[in-house]
Amino acid sequence: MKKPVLSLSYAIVAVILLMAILSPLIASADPNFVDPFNRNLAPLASVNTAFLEDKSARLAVFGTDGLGRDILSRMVYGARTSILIGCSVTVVAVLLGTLIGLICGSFRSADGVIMRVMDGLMAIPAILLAIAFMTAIGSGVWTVILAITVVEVPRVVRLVRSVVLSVRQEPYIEAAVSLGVPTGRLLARHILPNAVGPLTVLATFILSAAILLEATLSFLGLGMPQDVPTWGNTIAEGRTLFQIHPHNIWIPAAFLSLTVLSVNVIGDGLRDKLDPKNASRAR
Amino acid sequence: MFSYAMRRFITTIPVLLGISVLVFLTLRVSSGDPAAILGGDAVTTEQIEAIRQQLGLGEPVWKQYLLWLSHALRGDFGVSYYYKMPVTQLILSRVEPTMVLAVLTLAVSILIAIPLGTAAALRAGSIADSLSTAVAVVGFSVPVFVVGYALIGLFSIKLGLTPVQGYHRLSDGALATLASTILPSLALATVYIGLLTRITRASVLEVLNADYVRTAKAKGLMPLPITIKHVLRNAAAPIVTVVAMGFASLISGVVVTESVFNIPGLGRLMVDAVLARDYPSVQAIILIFTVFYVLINLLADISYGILDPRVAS
Repeated sequence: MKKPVLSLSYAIVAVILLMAILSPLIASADPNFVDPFNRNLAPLASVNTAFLEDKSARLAVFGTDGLGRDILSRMVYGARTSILIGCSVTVVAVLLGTLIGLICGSFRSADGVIMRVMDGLMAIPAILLAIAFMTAIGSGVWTVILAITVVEVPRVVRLVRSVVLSVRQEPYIEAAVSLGVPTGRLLARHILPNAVGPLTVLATFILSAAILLEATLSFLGLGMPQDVPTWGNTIAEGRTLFQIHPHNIWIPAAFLSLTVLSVNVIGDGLRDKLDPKNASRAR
Repeated sequence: MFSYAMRRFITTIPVLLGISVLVFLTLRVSSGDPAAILGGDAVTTEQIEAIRQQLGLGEPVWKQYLLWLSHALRGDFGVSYYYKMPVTQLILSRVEPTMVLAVLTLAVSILIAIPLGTAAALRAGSIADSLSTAVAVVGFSVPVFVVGYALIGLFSIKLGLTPVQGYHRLSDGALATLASTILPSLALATVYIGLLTRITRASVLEVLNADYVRTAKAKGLMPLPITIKHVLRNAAAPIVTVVAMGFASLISGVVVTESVFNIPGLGRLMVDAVLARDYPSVQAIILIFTVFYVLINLLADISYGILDPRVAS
């Protein structure tokens, strides 16, 4: 990957992270404040303040939606939701997947059963699996996180398991075993470090996949509750007025696509760095 | 070859069974009391009890599962809570748009991705090469629904070439169907094209360095026959696998695309069914999509054996 593109991606992700952490400071308005006198303002149109408490002249930078809610604020808080869900899923999926992967790699008896379950989970297309879980448990932040985590865990399990299986044959593991290193320590100190590199790369791809999946679920109306400002919800609500006020879709779409794209580029960059011989190969 | 196919078929049976258990458990057990849902608002306790008896809900879970599975295997997925008609009939009425969409998407993707990927591999650094990278990046990062709206904005609203939304049945004439499905298929194809272009490029690159390709060149064969007969034929196996694996993103994409373009297919039906808490329909559609996906991958594995006989032995 070319250097400037990679730097730009890091910059974009940094901006999104800042937006997520500092949402209340950056957002100029309450993302859920309904303002009937300022509905469907185009980007950069000035706000009609005649009926508002704050009379200072100002622009709606990204315009307003069909209920007069400020889109910039919705994007800023949407970043918070996306990052929260993306990071939670990534952390939980990596931790849980690593644990299960280590168990599979170490204990033959558990391996067969667990891997069949993982094969089953991987055989169901991601969105169907997530929808099945959402339907079963009902929508909400934690359900979304749980549903996407279930989708992503098998990938981590496969990776960690394959690392354990391939490393187990190495002479230094044999040496450690014959020196009497206990299994837990053997796994943590001698085997797991081999998985850190590939896990980091996988984690970035899980992050982008989770952000994308959350937005898709929310877009379909099956994800986050409607009163939570998210990129996906904003796009879903912009659908009805798409032909007249397309900015309701373009702006959240741009945030979503740029974020996912940047995280993917960073993942590609990390992989090339860790494994240069793969640099020009397909994923 | 036959025994290889049989072996592969047998290994998918436990996966299919596992999926059916998973789908059954997540949606049946946790979905509340189906009898109460079916009964509606003004229902007496006796009526609920009667429905419970009729559906076999008093039985232990494993018995319910076996009952459900044996009915499902015979094509009976119960009655839809929301549409109040047999789920099988409901699904059959929605299959056509999804099939048309999938076939068209597959055709568009293969027609674009394989030449593009091959061209990219043949000339590194050419326009085709950069284009293939760009397509792949966009395909992986831009959500299908965003691509969908971009296409609607450009072709339907700006240029007025295609209908904005909706679907025309094949019985209304194939041209009308094509006009109403061309944009959705293009949107859906972006993910697929990205995936396919990259894998085509990678596997063609690998084959290009093979001795037999050099020999073919040395014999003085023309570049095009070499590309088609020697390179693509040998690069085909991984491409076929990716076509099959890509069906997962195709299915996800169908669910989204049908919502964007308002197409009354299976994906749309599933979203509506989830929103209406119509569990039998959701169960059936997830099961059908997944079984379809597993079978496609089984077919790909078997054809892998035909394309590359070393695998089968």
